[in-house]
Amino acid sequence: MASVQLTDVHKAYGATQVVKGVSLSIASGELVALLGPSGCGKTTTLRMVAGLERVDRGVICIDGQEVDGPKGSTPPERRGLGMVFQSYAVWPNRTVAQNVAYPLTLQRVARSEVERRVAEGLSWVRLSALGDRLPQQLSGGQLQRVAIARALVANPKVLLLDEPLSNLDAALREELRGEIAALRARLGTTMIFVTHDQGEALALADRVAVMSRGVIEQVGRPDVVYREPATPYVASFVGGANQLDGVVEGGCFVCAGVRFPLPAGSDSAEGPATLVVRPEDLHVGGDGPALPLSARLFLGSATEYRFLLGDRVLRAVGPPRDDATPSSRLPLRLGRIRLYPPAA
Amino acid sequence: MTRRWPTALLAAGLFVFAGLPLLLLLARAARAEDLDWWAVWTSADAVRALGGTALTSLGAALFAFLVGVPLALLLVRTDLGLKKALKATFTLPTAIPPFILGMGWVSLANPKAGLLNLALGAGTFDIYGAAGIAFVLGSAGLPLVFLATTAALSRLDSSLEEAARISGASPARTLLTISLPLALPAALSGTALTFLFTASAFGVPYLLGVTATPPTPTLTTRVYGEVLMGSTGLARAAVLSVELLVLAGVVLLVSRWLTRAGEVRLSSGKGLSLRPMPLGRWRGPLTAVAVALGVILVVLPLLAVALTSVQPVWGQLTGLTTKHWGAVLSSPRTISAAGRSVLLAFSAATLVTGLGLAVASTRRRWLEALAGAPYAVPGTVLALGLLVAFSRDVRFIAFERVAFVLALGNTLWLLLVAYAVKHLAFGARSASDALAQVDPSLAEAARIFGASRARAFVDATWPQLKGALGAAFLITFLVCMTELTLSVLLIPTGADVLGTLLFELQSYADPGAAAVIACAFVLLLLLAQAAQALLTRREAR
Repeated sequence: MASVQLTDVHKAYGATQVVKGVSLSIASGELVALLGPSGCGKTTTLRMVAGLERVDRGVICIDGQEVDGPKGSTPPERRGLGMVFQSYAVWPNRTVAQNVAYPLTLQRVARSEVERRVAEGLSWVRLSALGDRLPQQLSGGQLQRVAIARALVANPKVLLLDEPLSNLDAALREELRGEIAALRARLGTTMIFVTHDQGEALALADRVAVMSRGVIEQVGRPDVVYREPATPYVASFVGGANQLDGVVEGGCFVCAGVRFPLPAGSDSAEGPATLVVRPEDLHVGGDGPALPLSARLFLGSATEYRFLLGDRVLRAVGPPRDDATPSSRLPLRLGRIRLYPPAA
Repeated sequence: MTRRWPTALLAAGLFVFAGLPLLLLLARAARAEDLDWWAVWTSADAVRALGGTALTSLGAALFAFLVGVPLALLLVRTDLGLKKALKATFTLPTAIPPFILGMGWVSLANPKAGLLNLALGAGTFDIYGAAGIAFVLGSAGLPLVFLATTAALSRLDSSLEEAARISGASPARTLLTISLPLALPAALSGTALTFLFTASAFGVPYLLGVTATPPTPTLTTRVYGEVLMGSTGLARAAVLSVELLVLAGVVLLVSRWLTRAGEVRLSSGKGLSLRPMPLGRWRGPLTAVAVALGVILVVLPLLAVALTSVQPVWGQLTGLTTKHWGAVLSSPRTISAAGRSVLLAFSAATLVTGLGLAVASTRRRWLEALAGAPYAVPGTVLALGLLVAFSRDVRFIAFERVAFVLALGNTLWLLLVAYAVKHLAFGARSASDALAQVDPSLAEAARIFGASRARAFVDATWPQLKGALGAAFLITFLVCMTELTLSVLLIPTGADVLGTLLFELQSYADPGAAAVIACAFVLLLLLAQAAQALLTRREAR
């Protein structure tokens, strides 16, 4: 268990700036998710913590010790970390037990001790029966469990997970997600978890860092990030939201010629603004302006309605309605919204 | 494409020109009644020859492994400098006949007159003998190990290595305990092929073994010697060549088994990424070592050949001259030999490409395997088989009245057959690989819109095939231009091709003239490679 500090970290590949000044402080025992679309720099950030990439500028400290910065870089093998890769990276010519034993052998742990700890590690991920198998005899989910056991067996200071679940199918993803949460509760290891799946990040993390184009847009508790997104970008990436550019005018938000009354209590200056409203906060019915319905999608627990507003589509989620027939016009009411300064 | 006639015809042709000769060779060996096989095999000469083959082949294989595997590791998995140039240098010997490298080393390390010995004192190096043969053929076979290992290592996901680094392994330890074991089957398979390549070689063992003190005979040079003796020799040669054939079979089986073992292991997870491992302060020194190796193994012998071609007297550094170039280029003998070689190589390449495409188009695995088989048969053995089979006219009688007569013995036609049969593997393999990648829906679309079968092939399929077939044509042409092993045994009396001319000039008459031919060939080769690179670059655009 250890803390991790990133201070103003930069990284470029050639002329492309991939990470542009990331600062993040992770407490000992905390699980932080780096969330963002592909190409946002989250994996590069993780690889710099791992020591697989060098920082161009800035400092990375693990447990208070500088591991990368102007003074030089500690190679990955001397950082005392564990890492789980998207591609599993289970060595195909070693058995499951040999894979898990590798980090311990490198630490010159005595053989009997290695055996005991490998058995313990395999029991954490419920693979005790498969120690003698070769990787090609295992399924993807089992391979990723081997990778997790291998990363944890040597008591790493920090466990790094790079999209650990994205090569798995949906059911396995759910299952393994639960197992990672349980393991973490048991071992209390500091973890940094890279993912593009907001559901994964919200479900697992103590804090989520939403990244976009090489910078962190917002860091916070999952519920805070979800409820109070700092930017329209965070709002649409986490949870999904309608984003409208328009003007606040006399208690209404005007967009594409349509005037939406703002809910009571939303104090905002008159003038241009960006309005963000989640589909579940856009209510069908009431006395708001009526918009043409373009599609109705039955989602099971609710129904999604799609409306046309100028050339864009507004999504609303709510209970089923009988009057929602194609090309009917239905009134819309804004529920909880957030207003941001207009996008540049 | 499941029509039967083409398949049957191709199979029959392959049988007559490849299977039958080998069978007749075995029959010839079996029929020699006054010949005790065991006595032939256990005669002192034959045992020495087998020993020579084993020793040189093991040596060459070991050399290629010890040099090729570390090179491949450094070039694929690390951030070594000058990677492109190094890769091009170490792959060059695939296209250069080993005999030319051998000539270079004779010029460099002949104990009395070699350039290195002139510089460092007589007798410092001696390229003649088993060690020299193993060294020259080891460096000529290096690409077999290097390319096989490179291919396997390129299919390794970098995260396998990164996982080891995070687990606490240093870069060197990671390469040795993670990357190397995973590439080992491919590397060993390439090593086995180097063994076979050396055991089958004729030119270099002849050049460096026969005149060594004491002579180092090998099975191939021994077979050649027996063939020169005439009829009784032919029977003894046939018996000896059985040893070579068995050796080749065993080595091929081992190599194929290793390749298959390697395939299973490399099928790792998705998202393959290749990130070279930083070498840190070792980058400079290791790059220097690799460059030095490339210079010594490839550049130096070629430079020596070039230098020999402009030396007035062989083995004496007394100025430069163009007399060899003038003499060789204006000699009618060279011109007619070059003409024959061009004609033969062009015809052989056309046959190889056309028949290769035909074989691959049948989509019958066994036929493809059959077409590839003669390439694995040592050239000496194949030539001997053709010699035995076609030394007299062969008659096929069909329907009792129609007779075909094949009168190939002692003509250039037999050499053409030999070239085509031996290299059919190039055409069949390229065509079959290319066909496997062809999208059949393109031709189907053409048919739907009204194209005939032939028209659809020309318009839709051929454009997808021509790159691979062009490459097969080019490589066959280049290999046949200076082919030596088949040529020396099958050349009709009184005629020459470039390969036999090179062999004769270097071995008996005029190394300077031989160097001119070798130089001209290497130049041609570099030009061809440059042209091909240009073509692929234009196509890629």
